[in-house]
Amino acid sequence: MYSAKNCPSNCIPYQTPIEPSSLSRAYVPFQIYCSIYGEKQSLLSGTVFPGLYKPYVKKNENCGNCGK
Amino acid sequence: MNNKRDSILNRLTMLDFMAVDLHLYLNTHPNDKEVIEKYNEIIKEAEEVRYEYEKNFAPLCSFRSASSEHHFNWINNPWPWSRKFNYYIEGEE
Amino acid sequence: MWVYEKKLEFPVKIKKTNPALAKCILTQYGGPDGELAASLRYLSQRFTTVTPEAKATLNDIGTEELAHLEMIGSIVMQLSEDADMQEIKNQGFDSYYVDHGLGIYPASASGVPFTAAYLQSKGDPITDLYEDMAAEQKARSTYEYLLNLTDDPDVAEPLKFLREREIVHFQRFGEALRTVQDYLDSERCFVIPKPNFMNNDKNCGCKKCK
Repeated sequence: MYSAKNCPSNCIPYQTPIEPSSLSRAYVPFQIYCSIYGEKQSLLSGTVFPGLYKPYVKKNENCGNCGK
Repeated sequence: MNNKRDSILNRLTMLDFMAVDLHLYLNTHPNDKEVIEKYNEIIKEAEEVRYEYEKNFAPLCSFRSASSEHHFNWINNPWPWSRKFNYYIEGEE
Repeated sequence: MWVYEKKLEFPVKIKKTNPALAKCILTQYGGPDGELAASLRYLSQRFTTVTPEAKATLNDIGTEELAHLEMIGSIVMQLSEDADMQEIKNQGFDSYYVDHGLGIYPASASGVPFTAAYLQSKGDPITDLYEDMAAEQKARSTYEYLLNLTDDPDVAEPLKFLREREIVHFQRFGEALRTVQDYLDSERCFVIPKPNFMNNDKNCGCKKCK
């Protein structure tokens, strides 16, 4: 399960479960508030919400798109 | 941070950014009292820092900020896209 | 109405000239998945969306994209402004230089000028929000490719910031979509009656049968 890893005290930062009301539709779970970062960390992370922070891991220099 | 102007602008940028992100959250969670309270706290603090910056350095907002008396200082350099305007982010983690 | 604020959303202070990188990053100014297309898309779509949540979300994210456009313009300008002729020639900036000098022009990395064909405003709130979510993903991918091409932390920090904003915006559009789905499902909406041709009896209800 995606994670609570960035949030304190195992707070799950989204509604669970989602109950679909129809086929042929995409659903994004509503965010649920857990905590926010401090001033500097918010700006540097690009979000105040730990649950939404998903930093990019740079690809290997010798490899355009292989994920290594 | 080497000067007062940069450090005030740094602080204002951080507070304003928190306000932006909380504002987007509240657009889709308009009844979340806990976050409304945080948002209001940050707005209040940012207002004080904005006042401090405008009093000491330069107007921030077009047709919202008052000008200095003898010269319309809105036009003064530096503008935000220049190197000289900007600074490296600092502050406590 | 807008009020301009004389500062950037995130500071841009780049010491090292790099016209080759400037040309790549320009694509987020006026390219197919760039900030100008994003801003125009959301600010146009907001006129015909339905829920208060979706109106506010499109309005405010469309506005934030203008701040991102300004950051990208600042990055491109600071990377190219001190370039000498040798750097311009050696780094493949010459083809851009002959058309625009060191001016900031909305075009893609490959030089295609900005076009409104990069965006849609379909008049259907569900369709529009799906497009918006896809647009955020495409912009995120672009920022990742740009980060793969960047070693300079002065450039990477603002790019990482912009990439993370795409993730947050995706979440907000997803939530706005939920409010629109609920609204259109609710009883307040007109139910389209079954057309007569679907009835089994031979009199279909049209003028001819009567």
